[in-house]
Amino acid sequence: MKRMVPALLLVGTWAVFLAGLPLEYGKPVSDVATYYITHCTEDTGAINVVAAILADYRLYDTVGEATVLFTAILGVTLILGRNHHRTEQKMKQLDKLYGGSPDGDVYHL
Amino acid sequence: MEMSIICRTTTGFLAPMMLVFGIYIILAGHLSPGGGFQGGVILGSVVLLLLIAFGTREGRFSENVASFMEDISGLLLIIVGILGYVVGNALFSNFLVDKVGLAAGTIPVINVLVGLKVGVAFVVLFYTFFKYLERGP
Repeated sequence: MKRMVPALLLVGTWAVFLAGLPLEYGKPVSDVATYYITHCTEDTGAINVVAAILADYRLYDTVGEATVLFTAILGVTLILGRNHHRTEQKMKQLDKLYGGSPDGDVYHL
Repeated sequence: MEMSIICRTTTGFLAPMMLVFGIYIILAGHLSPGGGFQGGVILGSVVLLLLIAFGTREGRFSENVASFMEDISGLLLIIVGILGYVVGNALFSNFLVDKVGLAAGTIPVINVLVGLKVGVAFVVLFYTFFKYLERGP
């Protein structure tokens, strides 16, 4: 029961905070949403409002999204794209050529 | 490492339809639900399905071509944005509305580029995973 107290406190605070917010669903707070819906077709010529926002009004954001994917590929190929076997083979080859260090150790792990 | 004949036959039957559906989703992105990202994911899953069902044999899939396509489409995306600054009035502005026969201006162009980029990105991502699994850690 003692462990539940922080969780209950968190949930209670969040509930009070949400209840106190003056949210009116279905009535947009800013005028931008209304502008997009009413002016989308004459501005961009697209019927699909979502496509108009993604590829015209907020194109900068879409380009950033493409950059996120690019970064994901960069990370994955940097970490997993390397051929570790080849590195080990090369180390073994070096060991065979030079016979390890003078102390008799081999270089590869 | 290819899968059973049932998987291969089903993939061969489904892949062309998925390909056409993905192209339709991209090209009609400004008219109906869909768009570049969604269609691109469908196109990427076609290639992934083929890779999984028929195996990743040498020479069947060129990673360099895929990477090149991804880079070029990303670059073209930025070039279209800069053209909006040069030709139009602001960076990333839609400078082609009701010109050159494109009613929606640059939106279909952007959709095609984003679709190409996203699809190829997913293919390259999962192809790297496949190669890693085949090679062993």
